[in-house]
Amino acid sequence: MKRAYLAMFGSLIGLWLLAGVLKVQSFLVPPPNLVLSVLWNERDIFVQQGLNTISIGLLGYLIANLLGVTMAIIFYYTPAIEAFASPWLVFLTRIPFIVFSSIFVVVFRNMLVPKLIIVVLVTVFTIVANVTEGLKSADPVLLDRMKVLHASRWQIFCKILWPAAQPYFQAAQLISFTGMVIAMIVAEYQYGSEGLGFLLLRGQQQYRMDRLYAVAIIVSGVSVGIYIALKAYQTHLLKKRRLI
Amino acid sequence: MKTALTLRDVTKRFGNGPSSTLALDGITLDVLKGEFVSFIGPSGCGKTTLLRIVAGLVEQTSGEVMIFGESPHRLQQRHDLGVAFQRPAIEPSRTALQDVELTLEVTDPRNRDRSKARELLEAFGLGDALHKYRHELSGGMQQRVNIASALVHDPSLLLLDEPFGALDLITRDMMAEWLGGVLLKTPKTVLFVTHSDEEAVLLSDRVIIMSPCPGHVYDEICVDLERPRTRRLKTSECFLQTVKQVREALYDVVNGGDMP
Repeated sequence: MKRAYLAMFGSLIGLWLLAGVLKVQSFLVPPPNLVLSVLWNERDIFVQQGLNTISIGLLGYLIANLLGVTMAIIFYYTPAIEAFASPWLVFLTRIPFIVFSSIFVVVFRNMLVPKLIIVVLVTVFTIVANVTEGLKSADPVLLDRMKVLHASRWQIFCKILWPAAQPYFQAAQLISFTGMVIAMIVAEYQYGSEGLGFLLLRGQQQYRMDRLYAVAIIVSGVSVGIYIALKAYQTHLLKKRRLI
Repeated sequence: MKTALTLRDVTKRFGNGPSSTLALDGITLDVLKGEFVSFIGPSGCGKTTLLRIVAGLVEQTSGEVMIFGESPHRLQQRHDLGVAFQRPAIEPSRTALQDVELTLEVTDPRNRDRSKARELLEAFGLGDALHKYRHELSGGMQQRVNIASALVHDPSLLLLDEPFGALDLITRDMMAEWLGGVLLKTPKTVLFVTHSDEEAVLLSDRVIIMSPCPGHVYDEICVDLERPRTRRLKTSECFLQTVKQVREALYDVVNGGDMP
């Protein structure tokens, strides 16, 4: 996996340099040195806005995880609620959130809550669906063993169900974390007040492709970095349990 | 000798209405304390269902099940039952030792001393495999961990549902002999479901032959062989004679004794 990622990064840099050799106009593909100098010169802004994006994104992500795992547990123990709530969950998380975004601002009169809602809407479904499936994947033989031993519900959850759901939970993180970053960028782009998404918007309005590329490097760097870290952890976990 | 298990007219019906299936019909049986009783019979004769009823995993439709004078649920509450299934109930994210400790974590959560788990696994010849995960253990080793998990809390009644069913013939032979040895050291009342007549005779004090559609007790054969019983016993005349008896009863159950 490491080699494949190195090859990808190498190829991207190669293509970028090739664009310079082929004299592609700099307002389409700005040369690397220009983008790097923007990254360096405006580092304070990028760090400040990046932290803003990541902190709000992570907060939304945390809420989505808490909400998602709680819903999955409720769904597992009460199939009737799962049957009733699932269509609503699918519907609400499948509507393009841009439809709601302006309503959110009017209703909540600030930018924080709408961004959090958008992150939750984008990420929560994957977490709910995966964790519910994971809980259901617990080995029935192990559940029988626990029942014969008269284990409490809490013991069964902690010792059998949650470990069984772990690979599914980790897989959900892989998908939903990337979703969170995209949701945050789009939300900031929409609301145009702060964050990396706002820098993208401003860069576009000012025809500053160098800044757009700089933001793209930061966003994709963070996303891919965390994806690789999560994937490595997940692979370790699954290998231990021999699920891959 | 004290009666460990009493089954009185136990019936189990799955489903309701005309499409329901009568799985067990009028099972009446007494098992003495310390007795090893095997259940053998063709697939669908209700052996596993009966074991699950005794384990309190399935509720009988009618009849009475008493273990040392109490219901299976009461025994569950007292953590006084041990069950090992054909598919080892081993938690994949735990090592062999941690998995056996899981039983103690549930049955005696306040006691931090889990040394019994290690001692048992070492006594089962798994001293080198304590820290191995399920996938690192052979089928025979997994089954020993499985049985250790069912025994570590010292239950009064041990229920074994085809524990060696998925093993190859040689391993199966060795495991049966090993189990006999284990139970000789720590006697237990055991109900054992199997498809192997030799295994049943080697291990049991009594073999119950069950007949299907609906499941009922067809015959029972007492095994009057001295213990310890090793593989060598399998070539002895009295062993072969008892196996023949069991097999003949099984043939009677399947097709009235006539070979197809």
